[in-house]
Amino acid sequence: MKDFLSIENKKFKSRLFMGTSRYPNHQIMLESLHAGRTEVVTVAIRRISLKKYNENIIDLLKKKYFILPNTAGCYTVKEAVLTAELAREALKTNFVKLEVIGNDEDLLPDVENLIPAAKELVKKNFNVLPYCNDDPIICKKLEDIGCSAVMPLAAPIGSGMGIQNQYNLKLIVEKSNIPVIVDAGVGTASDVAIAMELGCDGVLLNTAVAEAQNPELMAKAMADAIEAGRNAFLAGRIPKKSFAKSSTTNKGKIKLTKEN
Amino acid sequence: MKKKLIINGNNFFVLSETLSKVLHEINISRSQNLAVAVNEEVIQKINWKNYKIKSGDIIEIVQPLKGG
Repeated sequence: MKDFLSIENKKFKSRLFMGTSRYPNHQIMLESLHAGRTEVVTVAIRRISLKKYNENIIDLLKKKYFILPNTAGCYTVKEAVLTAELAREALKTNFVKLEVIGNDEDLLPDVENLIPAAKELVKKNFNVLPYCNDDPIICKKLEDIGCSAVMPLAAPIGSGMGIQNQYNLKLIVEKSNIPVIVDAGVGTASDVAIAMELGCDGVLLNTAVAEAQNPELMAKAMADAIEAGRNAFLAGRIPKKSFAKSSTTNKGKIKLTKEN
Repeated sequence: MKKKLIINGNNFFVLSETLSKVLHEINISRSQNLAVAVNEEVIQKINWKNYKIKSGDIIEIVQPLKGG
């Protein structure tokens, strides 16, 4: 029985999505994406250079991966919507990872603009995957307006701090009828495993692999962690108890008759 | 008569009448994975041949790049 991640009409075997930036070079990026066993990679949309040669990263990626464009660096509804429309035209996909941020220091989502941008893009027939705060209320609102998944952050982008609020993520998972994909702030393999153990449907990461000392090996660790965490979740863990419960029966224990 | 355009934030003076001719005039040969917006409106590739540009038009030409 296969355990797929379904988002709209797409089915993925791998629950790990990976970004394509911050790698030392293309070779290491490609090796890391391969080691991560990912099926989905994210890209940004930016102006071409009119003066020098423009490298075409898409040709390297499109044969192997589903390419998910993001609206990184957008602060307003207008910017985000136009970037998404340009992404759709360039990549011929309705899927978009919607990012609308409040400032360039902490890169945290600006919910006041995120929600109307998501609404407008859903109306224009996009499959919207919004990067958002780990706020159960916001995630529910994004679901209600028609987003295809929610992408609550673990911690600020690139911070590597891992999940800051497990309780919130658990609430989001419990209340969500659409996939929950943790995005941003992942640092190492255990962060990914924890996200999956909480019941999340997937994880998107970039810096944790790209800036690891050995990106390819870290990518493998992340892929293994996604599977381990997912299996642990599906297996149904034991509850946490504050008292001890012996694993060994007392029946048949030896008895000493002489006291020393 | 030359038309003044702002393309990717830079001033250009072009003779071409249509969007596809402008792209050619500024040495953009590749069209794959590119997208173009004129005055904040995306112009689909099939319409580049017919789209008439005017002086003062603001053009954005973008492509997918590394991103997280």
